[in-house]
Amino acid sequence: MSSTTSIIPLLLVLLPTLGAGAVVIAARYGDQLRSQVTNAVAFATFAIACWQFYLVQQGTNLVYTLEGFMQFGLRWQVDYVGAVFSVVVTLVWFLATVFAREYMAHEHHQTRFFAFWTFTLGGTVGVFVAGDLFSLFLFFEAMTFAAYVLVIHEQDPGSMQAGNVYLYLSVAGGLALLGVIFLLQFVLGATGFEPALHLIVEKGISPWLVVVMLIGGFGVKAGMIPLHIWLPKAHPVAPAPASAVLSAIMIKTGAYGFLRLLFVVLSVPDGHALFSFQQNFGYIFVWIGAITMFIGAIMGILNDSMKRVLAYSSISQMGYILFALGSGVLLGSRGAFGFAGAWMHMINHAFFKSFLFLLAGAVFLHTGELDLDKLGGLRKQMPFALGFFLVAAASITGVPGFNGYASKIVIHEAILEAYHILGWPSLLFLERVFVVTGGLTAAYISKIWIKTFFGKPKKDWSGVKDLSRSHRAIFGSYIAIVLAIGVLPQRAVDKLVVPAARLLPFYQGDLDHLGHVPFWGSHELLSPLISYGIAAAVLLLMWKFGKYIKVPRWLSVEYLVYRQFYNGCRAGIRGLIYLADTWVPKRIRFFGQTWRRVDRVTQETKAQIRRWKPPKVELVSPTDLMQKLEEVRYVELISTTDLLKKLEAARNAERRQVQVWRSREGELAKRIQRIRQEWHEREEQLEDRIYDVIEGVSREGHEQRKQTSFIEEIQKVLTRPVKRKFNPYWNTKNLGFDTWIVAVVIALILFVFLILR
Amino acid sequence: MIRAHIMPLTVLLPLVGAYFILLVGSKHRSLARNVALVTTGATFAMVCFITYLVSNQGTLFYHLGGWAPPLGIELQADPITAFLLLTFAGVSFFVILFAYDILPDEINSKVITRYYALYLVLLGALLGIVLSNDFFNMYVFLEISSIAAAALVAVNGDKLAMEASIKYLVMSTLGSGTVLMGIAGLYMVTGYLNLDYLAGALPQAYASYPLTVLMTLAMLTVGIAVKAALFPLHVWLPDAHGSAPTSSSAILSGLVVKVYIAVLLKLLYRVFPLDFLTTLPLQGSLLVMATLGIFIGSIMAIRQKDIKKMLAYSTVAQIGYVFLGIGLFSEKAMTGAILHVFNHAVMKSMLFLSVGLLIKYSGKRTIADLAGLGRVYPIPMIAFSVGALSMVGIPPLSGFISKWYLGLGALEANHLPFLLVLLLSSLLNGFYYMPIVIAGFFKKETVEIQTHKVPMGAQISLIVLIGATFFFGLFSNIVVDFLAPTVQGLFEVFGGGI
Repeated sequence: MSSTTSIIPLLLVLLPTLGAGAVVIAARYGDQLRSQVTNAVAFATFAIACWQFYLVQQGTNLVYTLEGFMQFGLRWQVDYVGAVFSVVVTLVWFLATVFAREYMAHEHHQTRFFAFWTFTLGGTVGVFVAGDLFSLFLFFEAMTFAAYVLVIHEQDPGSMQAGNVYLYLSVAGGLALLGVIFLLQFVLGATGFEPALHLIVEKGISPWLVVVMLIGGFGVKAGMIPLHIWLPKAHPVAPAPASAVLSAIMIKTGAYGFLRLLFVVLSVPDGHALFSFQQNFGYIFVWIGAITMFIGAIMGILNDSMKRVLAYSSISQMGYILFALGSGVLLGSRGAFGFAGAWMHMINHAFFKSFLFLLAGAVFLHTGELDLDKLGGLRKQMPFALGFFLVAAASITGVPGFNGYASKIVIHEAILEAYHILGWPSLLFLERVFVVTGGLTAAYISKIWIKTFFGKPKKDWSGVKDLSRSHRAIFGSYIAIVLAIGVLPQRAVDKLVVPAARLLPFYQGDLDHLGHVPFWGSHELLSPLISYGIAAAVLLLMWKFGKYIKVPRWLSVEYLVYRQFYNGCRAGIRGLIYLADTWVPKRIRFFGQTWRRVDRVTQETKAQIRRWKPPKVELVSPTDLMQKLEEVRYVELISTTDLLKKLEAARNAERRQVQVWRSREGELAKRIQRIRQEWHEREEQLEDRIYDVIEGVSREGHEQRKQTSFIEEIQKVLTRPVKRKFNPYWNTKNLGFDTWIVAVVIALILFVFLILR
Repeated sequence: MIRAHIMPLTVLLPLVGAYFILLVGSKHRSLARNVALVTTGATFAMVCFITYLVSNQGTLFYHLGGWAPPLGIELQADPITAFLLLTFAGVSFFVILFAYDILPDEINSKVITRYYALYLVLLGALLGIVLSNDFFNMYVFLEISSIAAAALVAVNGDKLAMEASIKYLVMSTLGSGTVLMGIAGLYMVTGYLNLDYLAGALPQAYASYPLTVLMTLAMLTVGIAVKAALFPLHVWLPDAHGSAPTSSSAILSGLVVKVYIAVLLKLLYRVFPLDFLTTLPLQGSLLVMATLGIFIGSIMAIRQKDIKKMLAYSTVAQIGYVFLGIGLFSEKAMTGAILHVFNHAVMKSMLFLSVGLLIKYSGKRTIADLAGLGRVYPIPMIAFSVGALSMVGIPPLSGFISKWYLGLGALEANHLPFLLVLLLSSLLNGFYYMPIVIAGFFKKETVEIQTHKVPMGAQISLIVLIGATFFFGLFSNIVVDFLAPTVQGLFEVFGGGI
């Protein structure tokens, strides 16, 4: 495909980035102007994205390079994929910006919010138009750090903690991505999106390392289980517009990264020696996707806060995307359907998830409540909200005529095609998982709208107003988008998906087949019935037994993986420090102590030997003894063996008694040692305190002295007799030990050098 | 005249300045800081001139008193030297500028003139070490620098600083002693002290006295490692840097540790041939020590509650990066190490200076107490954040560039694990730097913070340092192009690269 140099992608990124500054400046002249500037920037960005899409549609890629930026140059390259998704990003962002004006009206720190909001747009859209991995990484990090401010906007302990989890995981993910960039730069000499897998293997680097780093890099953003733990924390605490773009757009950057790298950088032609490797990690991706979508949906059902349910729903829907991606990678050049499903679901999910989050925000704005157990019966007060919610719910659950349906059918086709071509039974099982997850999705979404709008009101909602006119307009346009894709799915596939799929070396027959996806087949049309059937069953079960179901704390990924890992690290580090700080010095001291102890024991033994006198023994003649024994035997009428046994038993009892005493002895000794140690510590503490007090007193004295007049001081100095002070600090505690260690290490190194060269 | 004798004059100027301060400072205390500022500024200007000359004419040589090398003292400035000179003179100038209004509050007024004098002596010694081309001269300056540095730690005379300073002095004496023995050994087998002559005579000497040459190499390396605080010989560093006054910590952590690395560079790459080094376990031990230093320094930094101590442990980790770059024996890694010497000097002095300001105004030293300071003192907190993000390696800041070169160098030298070390340790850096940034800007303050006016000099120097962090991240190719021929030369002369 031909490519032309154009400044448009640069503008697309630069406008919102500089627009953030404009927002800050505009805020000085009033809130009105600030919101106008914010809206204008968002709209202008959207307009540029549309213009860019128009140009790319003509058949040219737009390219722009900023040479000399950090030595590498910053590259923009917009092909069909980037152009479509930057339109989606800017459109959703614009709608959320308009929504945010009313939503944020009573919030604190509005200027900060809107400035970072606009800046984040620049970073996010930059990810989709970046021309190489390094530029992508740069925009990715800019987005991550700017979005942190949106996440912690409330600044209460909950959001700070969520922000921490988000930030650290994101930094870790960014570093993993940096690892991939290092490897690409090393093997390619550049970081562009070119096939590099065979080069990496040629250099002797394990390809699994690349895959693991890639999963670490983009998986965190994409909410892939088990890297998702930041998502259900961070998305609910952010203000509603921010959670809408976080959930709808920002996690797509992860999916987009996977799309680029799995289908381009890590792909090999069919029949290549590495193709089996590609299939392996494709298969892993399918499984990760299935697990992610299933667990996400289950967690969605089990949660009771509207935004948390929606956040888990995002994880689940990202699972769909990864699932489709994996099935595409699995098939190599036959994977057009997998690619199409993932790509289409990325677009559709962006629309309906922001729709749902903004609706949740609107409900929160008017009722001040997000907990599903406290909401209820709002259908009379908020009929518009109910209507909009039903449309969004129909879309996410895949009711025919709404956009979620279209992509779900394509994903379903993709997994079935993988099964038909490869014939692995596990793929059929995963298809079942996909269907069941559709049912669970319907269940949690239905739970939200039933619990919010129906049932008995738990609070007095009489003062609650319905959506304002501007919000109705926003949701109206959402309905238009959702229906446009949903009613004409084939057209959407032809317009949005097929040109994108043509960029990749897919098998032509599959591309043709994409032109005739059976959207209106009877089997496909029945699929929502299955979903809602499962949903009804699940909801009935929940209604009957829901109060008995309590997820134990230990059954979360956070507890099972991260907490254990953290504890392990901490214990390890503590152990190391104990080793270095306490154990080694103790052992060194031990030699001295042992010597002293040996000395003492020797002295005592000698003294005992000196004191020893032969015991007085009654001398009994053997005959007398025999006689006595006979007497005893006669009296008690027992055999000699029994007697001996008795004697033995008595002796054993005695021995046991001795043992008991011995063990007591040890215990006692330990206790004494412990007490001694405690006393020792206390003594040390006391010593330190005394030192501190002395120092404090002397410092006070110093302060007082300062206040005395200069002349007095001079006089004092003149009259004071000269005396030499003894410096108390020569006698430092650690010095000797550390010096010894250094000396020993020097000796060791010299030894190594001389002997082991 | 100045043009011909620029190199010795650059070393001499701070020393003369120190003498002048002691001469007049006892009567005119306020004059001391002005003299120090002017002297460091002039030194900086002269170093800039040297760099200009080097970039135009290539390597400069100067024979002191006109005596030719084997007997006389030789000074030499190649691009790497010039770059290090620029780092040292520049950072120390901005530290002095920062301290212009702040130091009188922080340091007992009786010793402040002596403080400035010591500072200038230290600067002169640093420049002398970098410039001199023979070992004995280097050793003399090394001793001056370690004594001056120990005095700069102990200048306030409080208990902790005294203890740390004595520890520092004892350790660095151990190091110097070892270095001196090494130098003596070299002189014994070759009869030269000049680096170039040594390099010429060493192969023959090695043929006759292999054990002695090995011994000297070991002694020099270990002695320098003690002074540069390579793990596990770092034990003196956290105490010394953590308890010194602000400007001392900045210059100690930023510059003084680095100068020994310059010595090591000269030793390993100019004196000993590379193919000789690769037969020894030197590379392995350097890499292992560096890796351990990186991890243990970071972990210890995470455990600290006192913010200055945390920064000091972070220095241990960052020194590990530099040694990693030197130990990898590859061109890119070498460039990364030299860049990191500079970048870390800028970042760490910026961090110490900003933290010093925050401690001074809030009166608290623990990390938890910094909450909400970002709103009251924006410039110091922004400086800290920029430094912290740069340490973590966030592009486009300068810390990213040095890590980039180190990582590529690790791949180039076929040492993949060290790339992972680099990435993992960046995450650890994030674990101890980010909480402070977050607390400073986003946490609500627990107690009311008093507002003080940040002095002009401090603001200017912090802004310049922030600018440098950005500039050398965005336009790092200037430096890399300047250094590239010399770095290539290091690998071509001996062994032809690996």
